[in-house]
Amino acid sequence: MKNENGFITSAFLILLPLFVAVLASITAAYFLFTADSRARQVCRVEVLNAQTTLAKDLNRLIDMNTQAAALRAKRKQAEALAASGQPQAVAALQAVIAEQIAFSAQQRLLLMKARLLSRTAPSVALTKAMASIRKSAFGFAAFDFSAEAINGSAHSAAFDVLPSPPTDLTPNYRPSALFTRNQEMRARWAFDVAKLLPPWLRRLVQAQGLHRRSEGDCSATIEKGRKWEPKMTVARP
Amino acid sequence: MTWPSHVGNEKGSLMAEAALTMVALVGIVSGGLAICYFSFAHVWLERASYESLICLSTSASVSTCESKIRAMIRGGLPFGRLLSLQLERSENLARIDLRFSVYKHATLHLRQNLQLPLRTENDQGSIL
Repeated sequence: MKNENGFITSAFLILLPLFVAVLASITAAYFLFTADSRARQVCRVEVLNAQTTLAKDLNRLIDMNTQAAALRAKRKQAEALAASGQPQAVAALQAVIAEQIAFSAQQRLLLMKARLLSRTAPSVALTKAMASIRKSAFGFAAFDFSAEAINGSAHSAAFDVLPSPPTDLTPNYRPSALFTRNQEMRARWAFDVAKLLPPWLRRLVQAQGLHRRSEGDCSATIEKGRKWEPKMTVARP
Repeated sequence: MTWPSHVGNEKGSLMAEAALTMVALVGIVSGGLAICYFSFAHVWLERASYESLICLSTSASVSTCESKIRAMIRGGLPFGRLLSLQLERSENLARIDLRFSVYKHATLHLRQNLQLPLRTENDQGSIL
């Protein structure tokens, strides 16, 4: 009976560490996996939201072209009349110019807002994705999601629209030929899984050559459909 | 010197019991690991399917997305076999249907759809 107990204990002692190791690996993989999924989701929602806002801004800017063209024509007419030097015609020209200045301010404001969002949104997406990874990792205290452990990069979009005529006060704005390409915003992050582990386990994993790199990214742009619409893209290197 | 016969019998029965216990232990541990792997495979395939739907929502070709999901499944699931994989994209829907055999009759069947174009909460409906 004693022998049997001894045998069971030995078998248990041999199998238990194996079982625990496999279970721990699966748990760790699960945490990494959910952290990565959440980060991708957060990033995608962020860039897609930004591009949705930007697509609306672009469509609005294009819709404003009709009024911009009308103001240009009105000014041309007023300038022709003002050439006679009649005070009424000069006053009318000044009124048209004032109207143009006000309209131009609206165009520029929209453009400035869109360019600012195009520049900042990828960084915000990256920051949120990395914060989400860190937050998920708190569930698994063994991971060290410090700033050095994860590195990331963000690529801003250009909101590349061209004024036509370029020097006019109220030009028409149209997207450049490479607008969709230049408008792609992307965020990318990567971490060496081994770096997240506590030092004693890290050494073991590195010695066994088991360290793997985990990478994530998200990207979106604006494409011409019936109107300009946001679209997810496959992140380019 | 010879052992009394009852000692020999006792030794034999102890060995048999120990062997049975060992088989039971190995069975329990293997079963536990198999359940863990099966659950992991399910979660991994769900994620791979979702990622391929996201891929289909981009301008990438269906074959590109298919290669991506195959690589992802190969990378994450060393045991098991992909039995079938179908990816489809229409103007307003991306669809995936896959069957993965973990072991003989232990087969996972996943089907997912995604409305296109993708929208976020800020823009009617929450698909992403």
